[in-house]
Amino acid sequence: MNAAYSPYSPLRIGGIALRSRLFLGTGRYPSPAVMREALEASGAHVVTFAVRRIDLDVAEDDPLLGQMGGKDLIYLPNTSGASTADEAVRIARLAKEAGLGNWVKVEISGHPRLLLPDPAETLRATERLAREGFTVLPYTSDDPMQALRLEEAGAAAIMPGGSPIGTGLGILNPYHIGWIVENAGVPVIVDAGLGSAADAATAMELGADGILVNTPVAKARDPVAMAAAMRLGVEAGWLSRQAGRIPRRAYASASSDETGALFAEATSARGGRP
Amino acid sequence: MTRRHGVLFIVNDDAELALAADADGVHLGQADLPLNEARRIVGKSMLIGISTHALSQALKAERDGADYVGVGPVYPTATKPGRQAVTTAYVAVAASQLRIPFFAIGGISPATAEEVLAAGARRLCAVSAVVGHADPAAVCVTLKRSIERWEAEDALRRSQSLSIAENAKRTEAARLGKTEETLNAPAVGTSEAPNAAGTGIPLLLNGKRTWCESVSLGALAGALGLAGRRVMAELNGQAVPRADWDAVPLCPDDRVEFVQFVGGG
Repeated sequence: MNAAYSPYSPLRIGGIALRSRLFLGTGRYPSPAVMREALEASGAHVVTFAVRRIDLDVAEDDPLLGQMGGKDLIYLPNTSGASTADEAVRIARLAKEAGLGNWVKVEISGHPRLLLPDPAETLRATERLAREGFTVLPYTSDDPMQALRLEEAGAAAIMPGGSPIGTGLGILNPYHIGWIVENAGVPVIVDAGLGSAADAATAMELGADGILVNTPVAKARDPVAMAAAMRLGVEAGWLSRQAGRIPRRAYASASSDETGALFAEATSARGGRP
Repeated sequence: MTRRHGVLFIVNDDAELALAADADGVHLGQADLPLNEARRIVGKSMLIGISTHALSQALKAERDGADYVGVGPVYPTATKPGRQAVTTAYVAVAASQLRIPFFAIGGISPATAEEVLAAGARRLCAVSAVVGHADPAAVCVTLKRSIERWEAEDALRRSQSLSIAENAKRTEAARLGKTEETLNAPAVGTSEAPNAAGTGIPLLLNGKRTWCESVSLGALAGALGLAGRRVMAELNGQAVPRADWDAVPLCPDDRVEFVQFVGGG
């Protein structure tokens, strides 16, 4: 690819220039080996994790981080499992003690079936963690006002969901995502709900700075191929956005000039209008 | 001047100067004179305090005879730019583990005071927020009121919790009576019941009632085979840095969580 069209004009978050605009989740893959291959195929620089209790009854090895060995990655632990700001702050502080950086995705679910974020608690946690020096990326619904509030609270990037986590419904409200992008002073990463590479491209065309996917890759029939497709979808969408799409029009406009068309007279006689 | 106003006068860094000025105390940084050296210079009666940035440093200061320690910087602060903030997590651990007084310092202002006090600090030290304010006296009064309010609540809690502790002890005794038949616990490590010798302490370990022979968080991690793994620990709701695990003793009914990274989005 011509360097001038490189999709990697770097996205900067928390002072770091990222190699990729695709963030990859690490949950629900058929096996750790598939996860590792998918990670490779995705080209992702930022990978997400959850924090959970160790099962002390089972002697197990480090199940996940072993797969990351030696790679130069940015670790983005989430606070899933928290339903209040206090719980999210506790999880963030624990995650930081892993010694793998100070990024955290604030994720505070307010409803068991929708897993939509609790806006008040998310705002509170973002504010506290940003003050403690974390690089905070809050997961939020596609509410433009909440996005502004989170930015004021110190978020390093805003992560609005396209649709509820794991649904694969894609971007249900492109108008809101577009509005958030237009008004944000920090990067916008569309997170949650995307189903395929087309959704990835759509998000980028709407002006998102990046996307985060997990389930659509991990649960695809071929996770590694889908990881590659997502990478291409992000690149295509990004380039398309930079290139500037044509305006939508109500009527056709031919690709060639009509001057010199062979059957112009006949068409006219049949009642065709110019 | 300080004596006329009934305020302590502490000299920063310089023990010799503190002695010469007949100060009330001297405050050391981690890079200054060692504590025992300073004690030798200033004598027994002068106060010695030292700044600490981790529990291990604070426990060492306590052992070495410090009269108080500084705990911070709690938040990033303009007074010491570039210094890593220790967060209120360290304040909370200090509050539960230290016997000598400690001052929370670093980014303390009326806006952050409540959070720091909630974490367990009862002495605050503010620089930027006071000297950088148009009305320094008002800031001091606000901070002082916050401290006094928390102290009043402490007193109230103490008078109520005596009866709660008594109740807990009785419940525990009743529970022990029931489990006496299952006293086949291993001598080291953890078990779901107390061991035959009746030693060990009860913990809530990853949400499960467990009896433990270990004296410190580090020893417990070792007994559980977690020593070489990337594991994070929390004691009574506060994350504990790995470097401090060995220095953190376990007490009956402590809530311990060992967690790790797993797949997630």
